[in-house]
Amino acid sequence: MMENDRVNLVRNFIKAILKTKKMLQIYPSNNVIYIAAIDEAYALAKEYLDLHGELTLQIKPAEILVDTEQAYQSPGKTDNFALFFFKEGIREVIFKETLSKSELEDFLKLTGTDFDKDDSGDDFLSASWGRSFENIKFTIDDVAYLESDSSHGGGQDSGPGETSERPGSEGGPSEAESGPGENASGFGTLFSFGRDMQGQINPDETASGEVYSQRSTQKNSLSTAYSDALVKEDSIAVEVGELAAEERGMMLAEMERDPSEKSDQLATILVAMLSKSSPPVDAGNLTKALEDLILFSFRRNDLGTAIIALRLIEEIPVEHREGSGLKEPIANFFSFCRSADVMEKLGSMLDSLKEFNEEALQEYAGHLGVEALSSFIALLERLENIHARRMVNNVLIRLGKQNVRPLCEHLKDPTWFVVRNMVYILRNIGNNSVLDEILTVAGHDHPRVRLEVVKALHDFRSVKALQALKEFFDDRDSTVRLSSITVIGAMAKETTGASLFARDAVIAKIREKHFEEREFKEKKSFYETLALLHDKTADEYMMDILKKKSIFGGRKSIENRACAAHYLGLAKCREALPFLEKLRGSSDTLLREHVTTAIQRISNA
Amino acid sequence: MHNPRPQAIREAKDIVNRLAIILKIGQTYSADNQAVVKAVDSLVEMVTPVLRNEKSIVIELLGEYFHLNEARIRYTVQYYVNFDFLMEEFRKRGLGSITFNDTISRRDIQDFMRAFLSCPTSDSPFVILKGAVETIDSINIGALKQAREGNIVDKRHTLRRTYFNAVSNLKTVVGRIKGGAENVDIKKARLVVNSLVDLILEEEQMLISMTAIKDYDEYTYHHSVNVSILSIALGMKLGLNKKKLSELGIAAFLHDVGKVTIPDGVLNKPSSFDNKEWEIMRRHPEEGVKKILATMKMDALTIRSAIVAYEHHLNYDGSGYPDVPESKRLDFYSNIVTIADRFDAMTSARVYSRVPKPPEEALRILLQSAGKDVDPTLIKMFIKMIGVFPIGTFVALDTRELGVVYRGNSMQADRPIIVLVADSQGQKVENTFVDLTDRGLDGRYRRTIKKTLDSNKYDINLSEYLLESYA
Repeated sequence: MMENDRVNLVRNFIKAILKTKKMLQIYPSNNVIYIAAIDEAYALAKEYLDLHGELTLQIKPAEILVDTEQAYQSPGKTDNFALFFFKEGIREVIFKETLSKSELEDFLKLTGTDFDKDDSGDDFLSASWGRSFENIKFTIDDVAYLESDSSHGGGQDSGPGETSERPGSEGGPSEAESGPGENASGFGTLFSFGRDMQGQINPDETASGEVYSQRSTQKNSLSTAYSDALVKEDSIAVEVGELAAEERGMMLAEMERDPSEKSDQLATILVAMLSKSSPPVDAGNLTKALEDLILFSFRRNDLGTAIIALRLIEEIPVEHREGSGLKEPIANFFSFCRSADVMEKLGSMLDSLKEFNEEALQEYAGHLGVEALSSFIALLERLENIHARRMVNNVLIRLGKQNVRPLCEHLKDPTWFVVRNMVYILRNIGNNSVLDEILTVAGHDHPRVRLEVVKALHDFRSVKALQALKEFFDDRDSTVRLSSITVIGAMAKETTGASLFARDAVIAKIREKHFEEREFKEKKSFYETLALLHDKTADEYMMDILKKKSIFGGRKSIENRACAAHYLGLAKCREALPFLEKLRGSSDTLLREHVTTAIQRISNA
Repeated sequence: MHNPRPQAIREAKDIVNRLAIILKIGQTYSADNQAVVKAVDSLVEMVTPVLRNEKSIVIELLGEYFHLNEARIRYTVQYYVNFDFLMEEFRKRGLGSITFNDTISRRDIQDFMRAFLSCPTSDSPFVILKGAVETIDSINIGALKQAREGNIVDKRHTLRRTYFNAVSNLKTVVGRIKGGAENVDIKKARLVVNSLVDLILEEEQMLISMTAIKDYDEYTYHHSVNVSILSIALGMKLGLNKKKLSELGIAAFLHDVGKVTIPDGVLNKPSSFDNKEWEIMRRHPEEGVKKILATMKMDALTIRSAIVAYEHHLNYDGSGYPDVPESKRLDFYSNIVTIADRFDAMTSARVYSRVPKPPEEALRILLQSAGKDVDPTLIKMFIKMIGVFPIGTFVALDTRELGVVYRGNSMQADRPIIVLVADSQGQKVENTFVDLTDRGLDGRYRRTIKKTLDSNKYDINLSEYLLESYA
């Protein structure tokens, strides 16, 4: 095959690689487009490798060469495949003949990974190294390790035209000169080989502690060693023996126990350091580190680390926490944990996880205290997952017990579900003083808010609540109306006073002129509630309704009589039996069914 | 005591480095080029006073080291690349030595440079070079004394290069951390540590031998690299996978980074610390945590490194420093690094008056503290890994020969491979290796270690022996 054909093959292969890279980011691995892209790239690779053997791509900043022929070119800094490798220090990428499809696929996945967003600390080369490619190798520019740093006291002495080129790189050589001492790094040049046994510094040593070995004097030392060895006692070697099975087991257990996530350990260390820190700057830096750690752990859906940090900080003795420069950094840290940024991440965590430890969330909120109420309310607004909202509601119930005011203020929120949640939370807090606040939204536009108010009224058990419920009998939404009659019935069962109120309210409603125009189901529920209260005066009224046969009433009249029959059956009113028997054979199905059921109930009682 | 040396001799590494620079630049630029002339003049300036006193300067390549007037020149991180380059160039040409006589001029060096660089590197290059140099009065050359070939040389080369890359990289990272840089990129540190992992997986003993040498400047950097190597080696024995070995290696690499905050006066104090100084020193684990977290991106690796930096002076039983609750369990990696750290520190010359301990004594001390200072199981595994006579132990055999432990034997920990230093008469020997598992015709072991000796006491240059090649 001609040379041009060979290079063209490589060019096509690189084009296919770039296309496949994009596909891998868009499609899942079982997608046909994904599979086709991998197949195409691999086919081109195999074609080349089968014909020509190993493929070595030489990497330059703006191009990729194959034996000095350009196979890829990109002058810009973005989307530059060559520059991607070049910046990693890679100067050659070598594909071996036995390249497998899975290796190529993994290689392409790695080239498409955004390592900046990855929290593992990996980069392309270390991730590739970890993958242990058998048939893809890289040649790295070794000199990249040897960056001379002027902070070490070394200078540069380079040839003309070069300023900071490194040996072996494009452009020519350069070298570093040492300063008078090699401790300019400040890391501490410790003494090196050459002191005598009294610890005296050898006069041959330079400032950097260099000592030359001298072969001629070594001969003397050797004979001394030989002589000494003849008389020295035999040494006893250290004996360790084989590891017992128990020891091996313990070690394995230790290794298995070693968690891959260590954020909680670091949090413990940082708080320990915080408790001992003295200058405020130090404490500030430590809390900043804790903040970074918590953000990191949240990205990994770990709330435990934050809890540990907060818990341990609270264990620092109060007098120490309040003084010695810790107060402000700690306060800032707690503010951070309540901040919008952190709450957003907490929200993502709550929404994304199928199961979440609610106790952990409660503890987290508990440490943050009532100051976190607004933050959690804001969080509630953002959550999409119903289970997450339920958990946060529970948190707000707990926190709200300490201070309901922020919750009450959010009753004015323009978002209906926020208002509804506030009503729910206020109801569950069980603080009777908030009834008036809740009633401010009794007339809310959204029926689900009004519904929530209705449910809430049950828990307040006051005349005011009953009054309000009565108002809901005429709500514009049937669900709300139904709910109000159910709730008032439930309240009526609990106290005599409520029972009387409810009975009068229901009878009054039933007697209203337009009541019969309501849906049958709704009307029936009123009668049903009344039946649960069971009052004799109502019995008479119901029997009158049964007896009433209206020519003009039509369907509504029949419904009323059916409701009355339903009432009498639930109330087990024997006196009504004769009237019910008369209607047993009614031609109207609805009436007949309800009458029959009522008769059965009364007969069985 | 060593004989006093003229001041200029102390510049030996500078002279060799300068020569390397000239030859390197000369590959691109002519001998009359300004930069070349400058470098040449600098070399002349360096050698002239030496020649006045010594009459000649002989730069000789023996084994893996350059010598100047028979004094071996130690490797340093800064000059490593140039030394490596020069060694390769010498070998390509079969060149063993260059002698400068009497007086040397710019022209002499330029002529030599031309002859050197124009000499082909195949088909008796030394003969050609010798012919070309004969016209230069003040310069003689000698042939390379021992030709070294094969994979073992390459491996040693790779080994040394990797080791010094690690030291150099650590210097860079530490320098940036000390300088307060934010977001120090440890990408290269990862590459370097990954190379160490690869080498340990392939040639564990060879890389461990680098930790035994201790023959270098800048102890603290080398110490951190040694701790990294020893930790990775132990981690490998424990069966950690590559990723975990890499993590462990980096955490060990950075374990002492907190020392950047210790004033040099304290760090390099040659005598005991007073209470205040000791207090400063004891802070370095916590300072290490602060430095790591302030300068490295928060990720899983940073977290692990910070934990190890904090805990590496804590004992297994919770004593040590910094103060921690009794109930605290050390991190698994910390337990490993602690052992490696203490072993390397004990066996290294330190700034204060202690002399380094022989390796087997260091192991004995660690073993005695098992369960108190160090993890009892890990120390056993460490000893099994490194051998009861670790690489670098100076030993006396039952044959009265003296030697240095060269390579361990995982099957029989007390029967390593020894490189002999002296024969049974006490005469120096070179390049002689013996395997203590060898038996005679009677089935008995030919040689057995009877005693260990302190190599420091007898000024035994371990690097000279440990960097020899064993085929």
